[in-house]
Amino acid sequence: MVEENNNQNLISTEEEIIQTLEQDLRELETYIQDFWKFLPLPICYVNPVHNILDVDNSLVEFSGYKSIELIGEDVKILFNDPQIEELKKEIFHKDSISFDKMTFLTKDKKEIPTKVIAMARKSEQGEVIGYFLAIIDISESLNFQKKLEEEVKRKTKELQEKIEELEAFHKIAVGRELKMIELKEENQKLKEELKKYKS
Amino acid sequence: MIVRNLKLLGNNLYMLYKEELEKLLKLDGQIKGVFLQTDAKYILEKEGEGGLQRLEKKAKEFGLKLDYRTARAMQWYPVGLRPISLLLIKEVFGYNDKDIREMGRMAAKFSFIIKFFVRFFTSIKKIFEKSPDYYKMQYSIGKLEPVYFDEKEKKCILRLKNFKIHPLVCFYLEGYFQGVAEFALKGKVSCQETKCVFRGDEYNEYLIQW
Repeated sequence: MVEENNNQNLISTEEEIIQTLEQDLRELETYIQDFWKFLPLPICYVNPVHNILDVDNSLVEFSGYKSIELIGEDVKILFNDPQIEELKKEIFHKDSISFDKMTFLTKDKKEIPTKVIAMARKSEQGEVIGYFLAIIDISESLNFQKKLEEEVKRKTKELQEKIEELEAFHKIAVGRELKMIELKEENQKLKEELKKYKS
Repeated sequence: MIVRNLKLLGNNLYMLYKEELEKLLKLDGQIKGVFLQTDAKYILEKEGEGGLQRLEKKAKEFGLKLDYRTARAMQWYPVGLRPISLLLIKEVFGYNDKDIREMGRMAAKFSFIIKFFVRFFTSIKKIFEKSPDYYKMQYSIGKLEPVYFDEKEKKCILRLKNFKIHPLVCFYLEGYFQGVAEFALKGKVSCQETKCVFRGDEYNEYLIQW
């Protein structure tokens, strides 16, 4: 009788553990899903054979693809850049890598300059089981940089023109000064000659 | 999740379904709620928000409460809801068996469980070996056995025992197994149901080739 009760206690404890674990899993699931929905940065998760396993809403919006069209596809679908092959190789040897400029390709074939950061995910045994890819649109900062460069170029040109004007003025001003000195000297000579004649 | 008010509907179609739905709801076994999530996601992608609303409306007409929007992947549901949801989708959108197969293939892509247990998906061999564990996570009935694997011949065989739910689920699973295999493989992948309990075989068998 006592043994039976003990067994019943064990079973209920096991059931409780399972229930708690299932509850934990459900909460974890909600957390993960909410987090993926929230992420404001285009992100995807890729498996070791470079097939996309998950994408966030930002990537769907940024790429123009539906998630159904991206999941299961090779990650290279997102880029028009040979560096993607380098990324695929390197990620197995480095914990994380980044590329300052990679050309992203949207569904309607629009090319967007991006910065790409990849981080490997490893199993407990240290085996790479996939990697996260974050894509940062740098087109605005590149446009800003381009505008800034154009502005610097324009200002330099303006400055150059001012310098040329100044040089021309300087040349004229210095020429006039020399002429005046010359005329003064001539005037002085004539005065001296006139003095001789008078005496 | 209860069939009710069916008599009040007075429509021949509903009466025809009534018996089938009630029979399916009485099936022993449970399934994880991830199937409701993947069905909803597929319909949203293919038919849009309006499509999902039509499906929800149809379920309501049959007195069924299918939590397409609130289901949790790891929550258990009666296994009969798997074919019931497929039947409703067929009814609302006029999908054929091929479409249901494609739905299964896409379900693998959307499955939270697949993403969560992604550590298995590093190679086709690992998926094959781990398939019984992965199956047990989703179904409380039936047994999935990995019976043959040949990397050179590029094929493997999965056997599903003690799982007689509905023929529509067989099409769905055919696509599903293909979808899972596609995660770990490049190029063309196919999956064919070579044996089926609804064709008089002892079990279902699926041949995957790549």
